[in-house]
Amino acid sequence: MESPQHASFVTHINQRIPLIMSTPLPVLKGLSDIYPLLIIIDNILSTLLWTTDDSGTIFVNMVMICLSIRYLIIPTKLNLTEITSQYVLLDYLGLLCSSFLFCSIGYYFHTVISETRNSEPPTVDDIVMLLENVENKLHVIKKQVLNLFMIDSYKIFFQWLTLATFIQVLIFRLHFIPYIDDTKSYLILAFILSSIFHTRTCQGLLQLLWRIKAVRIAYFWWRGSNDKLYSVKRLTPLAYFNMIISDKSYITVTLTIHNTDELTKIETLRNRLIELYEQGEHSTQQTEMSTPSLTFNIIKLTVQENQRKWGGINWTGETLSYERTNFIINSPFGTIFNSDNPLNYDTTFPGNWIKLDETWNKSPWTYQDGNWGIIGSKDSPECFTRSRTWSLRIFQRKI
Amino acid sequence: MKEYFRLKYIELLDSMLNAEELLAAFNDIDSTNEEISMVEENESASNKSVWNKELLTKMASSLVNVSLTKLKNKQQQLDGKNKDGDDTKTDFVAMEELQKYIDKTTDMKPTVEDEEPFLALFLDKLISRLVPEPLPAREHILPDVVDQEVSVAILASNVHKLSERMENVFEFQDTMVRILTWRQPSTMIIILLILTKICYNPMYLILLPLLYLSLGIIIKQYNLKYFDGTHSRQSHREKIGKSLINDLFKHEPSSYTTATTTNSLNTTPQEITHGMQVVLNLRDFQNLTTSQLHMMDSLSSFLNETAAFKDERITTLLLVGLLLSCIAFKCLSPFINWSLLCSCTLWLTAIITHPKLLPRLKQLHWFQSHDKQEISTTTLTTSTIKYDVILDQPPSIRYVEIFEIYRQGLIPTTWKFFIYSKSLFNPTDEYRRAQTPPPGVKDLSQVQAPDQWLFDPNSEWEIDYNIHDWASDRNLDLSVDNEFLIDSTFKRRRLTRRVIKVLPSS
Repeated sequence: MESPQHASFVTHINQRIPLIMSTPLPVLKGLSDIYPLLIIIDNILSTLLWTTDDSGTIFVNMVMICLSIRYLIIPTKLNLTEITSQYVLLDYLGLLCSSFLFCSIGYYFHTVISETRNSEPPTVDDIVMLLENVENKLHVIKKQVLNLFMIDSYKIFFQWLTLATFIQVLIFRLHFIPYIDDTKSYLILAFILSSIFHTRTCQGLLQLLWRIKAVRIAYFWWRGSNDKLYSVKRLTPLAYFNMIISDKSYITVTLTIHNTDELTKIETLRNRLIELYEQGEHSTQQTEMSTPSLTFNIIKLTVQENQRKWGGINWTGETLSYERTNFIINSPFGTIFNSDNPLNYDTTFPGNWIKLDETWNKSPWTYQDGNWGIIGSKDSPECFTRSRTWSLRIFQRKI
Repeated sequence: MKEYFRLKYIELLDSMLNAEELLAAFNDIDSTNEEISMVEENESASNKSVWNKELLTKMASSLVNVSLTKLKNKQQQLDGKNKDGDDTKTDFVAMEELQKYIDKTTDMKPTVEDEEPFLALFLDKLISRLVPEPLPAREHILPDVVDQEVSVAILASNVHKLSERMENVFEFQDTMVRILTWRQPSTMIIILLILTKICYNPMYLILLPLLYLSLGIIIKQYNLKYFDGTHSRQSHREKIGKSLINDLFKHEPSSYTTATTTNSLNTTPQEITHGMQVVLNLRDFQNLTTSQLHMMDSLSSFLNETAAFKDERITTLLLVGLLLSCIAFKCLSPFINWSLLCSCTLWLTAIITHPKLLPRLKQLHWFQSHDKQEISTTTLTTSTIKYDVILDQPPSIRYVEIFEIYRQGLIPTTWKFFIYSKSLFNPTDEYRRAQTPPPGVKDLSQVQAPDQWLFDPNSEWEIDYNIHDWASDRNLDLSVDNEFLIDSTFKRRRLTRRVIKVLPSS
C-alpha cells in the first residue's frame, strides 16, 4: 500500500510580504530613479559573463572593439614601408567601427531611458530582483578575480612574477606567437582572452583540460604541490626502525610472571603482551615490585596506504606525482617519507626484535575528495581518494 | 428509365451526405463522451477503447467521403456522356461497391481499375481526417513555396520518377568504381594528372569544367550530328600487339567476378526491358538508401556515444587530440608545401590501392603485426586501467527536505507520530482541507532521493532548528515549540539531507 516517497529539493521560495508595504517613500523614489542605470549595469555584466541569449551580437561587438583598438592606438614606430592597401583598409574599418560603437552605445542608453519612461513603472520587487542579479554577477567576477590573483605570500607573488616574465620573453624577445610583436597586438590579445574567458565553451574547455594528467603535473610543477603529505624522500624500513629507536618512541611494559610456563609458549606470551600494550596505551600500569617480572619494549610500526579512484570505479595505488605516494610513513619527527609496500618489508629486525602481530593490521578506509580532504567512512560519488593505516607491533626484551 | 435512375442516384447521394454528417456528429458525441469518461473514471483502458472507436468512425466517414467523390466524378462523366446505354450498369457496380465499404468490410483489395486508385484516395482522406489541424510548416528559402498536403499518390509517383532518374547516377557510380579499381588505367592516370594540376593551381577547378563543357559536350554533340564514321574500316580480327601501360596497370577482375560476368553475359543479350530496368533501378535505390541509413547510424553513434561522454576518458582524450592536431596544423602549415603534399598523397594512395599491389602489402603488414602481437601478448598482460585522465570533478550537491508530522493525542500535551511527507499539512494545505492524510510514508528509510540523485551515505537526516527561517520563507504564521511548528491538531518539523547527483554510468 505504501509507495516510497521521494523527498523534494530544498528551494528558496520567497513568499515574502510585498516590499511596498515596508519600504519608506524616499527609498522607493531613489530606487525608481536608479532603475535605468541598474538595467544598463546588468546588461554590461551579463555581456561580460556571456549570459545573454544573443551571443552572436556580443561577438560582432568584440570584433568591432578589436578593430577600434587597432585604429585608436598609434603604433610606437611608424614604418612607411609597412603601409600597404591592407593596412589602410583595416585602419579605415577601425575608424568606422569606433564611430559606430560610440553611436551604438548612445543609442542603447537612449532606448533604455525612453523605454523605461514610456512603459509602466517597475514594481519594487522588480527592482530588488534586478539588484540581486547585479549583486550575484559582481560576486562571481569578484570570486574569480580573487582566485586568480590571490597573493597572500611572497612565494605566490614570485610564481606570478616568473610566469609573467616567461610569457614576456616568449612573446617579445623570442616571438613565439606570430602576429604578437607590439603593444597594440598584445592589448588586442589580452582583450580577446579576457572577454571570451566566461563563454560556456571556454569554461568547459578549461574543465576538460584540467582532467588531463599532464596539465595537472605542469600546473603543480609551477604552483608547487598543495598536498601536505607530499615529499620526495624515501625511507627504508630499517631507517624507519632506527628512527623510532633513536626517538625512543616505544612503549615499555612490565610483565609480571605468575607462571613460568607462560614464557615458554610464544603464543601466550604474545597474548599477554598485546593485553598489556592495550592497557598501557590507556593507563600506566602499577606493578608490585615484589613479584618477579620482565620488561619488554614494544614498537608499533605504522604505514599509511593511499589510493586513488581511476575511471570512476577502479581503486588503485597509482597516485599523482605531485601528491602523496601509495605508501607513506609518518615519522616520529613529524616529517613524511615515502615507503615500500609493507608486505615487502624484511621481517627480520635487528636487536632481537620479534613480531608481536602475525600480520599487518589494516584499519578501515577513510574516504576523501580529490584533494585528500576527509569526507567520511563510506564511498560515494564525491570520493576520489582513500587512506587507511597498516600497523605491526614488534617487541624486544629490555635488558 | 434513365431519368428514374438519375433520380435514384441523387437520392442516394443525399442519403450518403446525411450519413456522413451523422457519422461526424457521432464522432463529436464520442469525443464528448471521452471527456466525460476522462473525468469520471480516469482509466486508461476506457480511454483507449474510446480512441479506437473514434478512429473507426473517422475511417468509416473518410470511406464514405471517398466513395462520394468517386461517385461525383462518375456523375460528371455521366453528364458528359449520358446518352450511353450501359451507364446504369456502372452505377449499380458503384452502388454495390459503396454498400460493401459502408459495411466496413475494409478489405483493401484494389478491385476497381481507375485512373485514380481508390486506396490512395482513401488513405489521403484518412490522413487528412486523422490530422485535422495544419501541420507545422518548414522553412523555405523562396517565400512562395508552400508545403504540399500529404498524398500517397504524389509520394508514390515521386518515388517512381526518382527511381527512373537515378539510372544515370548509378551508371556514373559504376564508371567511377571501374576507374578507381584500375580497370581502365589510362583514364585513372588522366584523372590523377588533372587532380595534380588542380592541387598546384586551384584555378583549374573552374577552368576544367568550362573546358569540358565546351570541348567535351558541345563538340561531341556537333560530331554526333554532322560527323559520320571513322576513317578506318572495322575488322573482325582481334587487335594485335599490346600496350605497356595496360599490361602494367590493368587489373583483370579475379576469377570469381569473371565467372559472374560470363553468366551475366548470357543474360545481357536478351535486352534489358523497361520493367526490368525499373526493378533494377529500384534495387539500386534500395541499396543507396540502405547505405545512407548505415552512414547516418554511424554518424549518430559517433555524436551520441563517442562525442557525448559515454566513456569519459575517451571523449576527453578525443578533445585533447583534436585541439593538439589543430595547433600542430596551424604551426606547421607555413612550412608545408601543400600542393606537393596533396599531389603526393593522391598518387601514393592511388598506387597503394592498386588491386595488384594491395593484397601483397596487406600480407606484409599482417606478418609484421603478427610478430609484434606475439611479443606483446607475452610481455603485456597486466593492467588495463589507463592513468592519463583524472576524473575527479566534484558532483553536484543539493539538499532535500521532508516534513515529520505529529498528531495531537487525546491529552493536548501528548503527540503521536503521524507521517513523513513532502506536504506541510498546515491548515491551508489542500490535503488538510480534504481531510485526507497527505502522501507519505511511516518509516524514514522509505523516503527516497529524487530521480538520478543519491543520498550522501556519509550524511544523516538532520533536524532543521532554524525554524523561523523556513516558516517565514513559506509565509507561515504558526506557533513554535522547540524545532516544531504547531497548529491546532498537528505539529511538524523539517528534516534535511544532502544528496549527490549520480552521473549516468558508462
